[in-house]
Amino acid sequence: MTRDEIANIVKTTIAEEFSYDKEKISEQTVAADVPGWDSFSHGVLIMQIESEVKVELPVDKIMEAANVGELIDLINTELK
Amino acid sequence: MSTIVEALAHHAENNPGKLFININKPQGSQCLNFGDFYSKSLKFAGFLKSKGVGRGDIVLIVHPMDTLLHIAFAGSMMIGAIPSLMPAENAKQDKQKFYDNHRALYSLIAPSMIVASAEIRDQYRENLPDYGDITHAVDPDDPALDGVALTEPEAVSGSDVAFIQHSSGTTANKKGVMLSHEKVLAQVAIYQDALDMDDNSVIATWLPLYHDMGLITNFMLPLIRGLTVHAMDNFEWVMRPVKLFDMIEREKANYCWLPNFAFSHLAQRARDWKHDLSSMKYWVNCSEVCRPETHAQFVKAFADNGVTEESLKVCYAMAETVFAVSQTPLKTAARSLDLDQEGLDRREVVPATPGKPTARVFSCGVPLSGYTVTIVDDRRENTLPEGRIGEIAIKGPSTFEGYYKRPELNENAIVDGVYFSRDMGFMKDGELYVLGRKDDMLILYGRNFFAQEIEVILNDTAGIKPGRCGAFGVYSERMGTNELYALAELTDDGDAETAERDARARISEQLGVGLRRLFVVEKGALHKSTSGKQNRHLNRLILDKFLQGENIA
Repeated sequence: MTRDEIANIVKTTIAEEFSYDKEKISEQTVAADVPGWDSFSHGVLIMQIESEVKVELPVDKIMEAANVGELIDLINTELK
Repeated sequence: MSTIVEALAHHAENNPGKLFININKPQGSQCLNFGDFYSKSLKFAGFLKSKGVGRGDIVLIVHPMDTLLHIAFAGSMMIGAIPSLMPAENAKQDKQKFYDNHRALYSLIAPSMIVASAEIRDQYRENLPDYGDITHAVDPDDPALDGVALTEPEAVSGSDVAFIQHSSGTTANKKGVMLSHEKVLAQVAIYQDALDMDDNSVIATWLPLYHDMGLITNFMLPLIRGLTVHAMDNFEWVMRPVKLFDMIEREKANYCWLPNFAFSHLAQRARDWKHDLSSMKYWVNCSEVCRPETHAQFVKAFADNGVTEESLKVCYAMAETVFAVSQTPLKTAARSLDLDQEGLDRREVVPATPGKPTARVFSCGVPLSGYTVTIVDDRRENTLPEGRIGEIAIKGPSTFEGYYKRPELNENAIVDGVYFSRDMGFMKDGELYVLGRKDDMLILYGRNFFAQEIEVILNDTAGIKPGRCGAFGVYSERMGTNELYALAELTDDGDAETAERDARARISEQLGVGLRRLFVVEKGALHKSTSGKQNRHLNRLILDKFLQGENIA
């Protein structure tokens, strides 16, 4: 899976989970930018993304991801 | 024993090697036995004194889940200082709003010290510079603390305030519930019996400690009772709910407290989990509206793992009574009643009849030993009989000492030792049924509705984002009564006109009341507290702007 494919999955899942306009999601987007993205929904979001990309991400590293771009990088690294 | 500190000293002396807490983290586990807990707390108490903190001073603790939380909390109590736990900044929250709210709250509390992790200390120094000098990151294992350690706790009285528990609500409006040592001890003594606990009882949890359910059931209760707690991070639990079951099976845990949504989350995420959960005596559902259908879903999902209907309890609890007031009796499953909706609207408890709107309500069980629950009328002058709906008033051995620096709130909350909860409910066959907050009650055309029951219908309306709506009563001079208004956020494919039309039809069909207007707000505009509850006050202000003809969307 290429980084672009991962980025597409991440943005699509965020858009669906929070009923948010996908076009507004960039690599710099942070949780506070997206209405409804709280701690609980963040956990559920990660579970959704994991099932799409078929990899279990390390929890401590997920917490360190500061924005969408870093989350994409993390998945890209874990898939290698 | 008259203080929490004496209880800790007792366990440290008589059972120093017994495990108090084991925190399972992604990076590894962190353990603390009673002996080490006591000695490290004495060191921390010495550190506080060395910084000039003393009796009656407020010590705020802002820290991720870590044994430092427990040590700082107990160390504060050892010198008669008053600890209070606060949530840390969360990347998912609006940073500016978070610190603005905390600034307002802290100016009221006037803390003498803020104990934080190094990361949080730096965040505080940057965003709350007025508190930078009193914010400290402390390593309880720092050898430098050896020199200041106390040899024994300072004398504290049972009637002294032990700690402050901040209620839910937006941060700036949080109420600091003052709880004395003797009230906390009284609650634990009674509650452990209601749970049939013994010396070997083991607790499993993911709850953060800054909410009362976590603080009391997973910290104070095991500390005072000398029990072991196995904990995990709440964030990890959300993503890996199976790990709670891993922990329960591995540690043979017996007790676990969860809010209703957590039962639902576990049941929905179950994927043929094979855990043996037969060690569990009780799962306690508390802290939000408990639903019979959630219990049924949980039992169905995990019956093969050893979960029985009788092992699930419903508890009615609040910080103002330390914690529990009533709970499902030990050997029985929680009862529920199917009631006539129109009867409820008239504040009458009438059995449902086929073909008419029905409301299913869950029993919160029987009052704990020593607690008296009465249902009173609106003027709080008369006690209502069984089967009549009114405000729930509580008298018991653990009623709080008042709200910290909020005397205007105390006046109406406690009268002659009776706490008026502002919750509405009724008694039936000796059990308590809680319907909702008095403040959330809408009187429309002379009928009584709880905002929540209307919001349940709105949540199920196509086009409205579940959980992002609110119902309000607004007085109409033209009609001479309150009329129903609603606010809602829409889903991506939601259409305002259709949602309003459908919501009006559904509310009329199910409750027999008309919806005057549904106003659509921008996504994320509705206010919720840190515990996920709706902030009706702030949301009402949004509605008022609509009513004044201002479009805020």
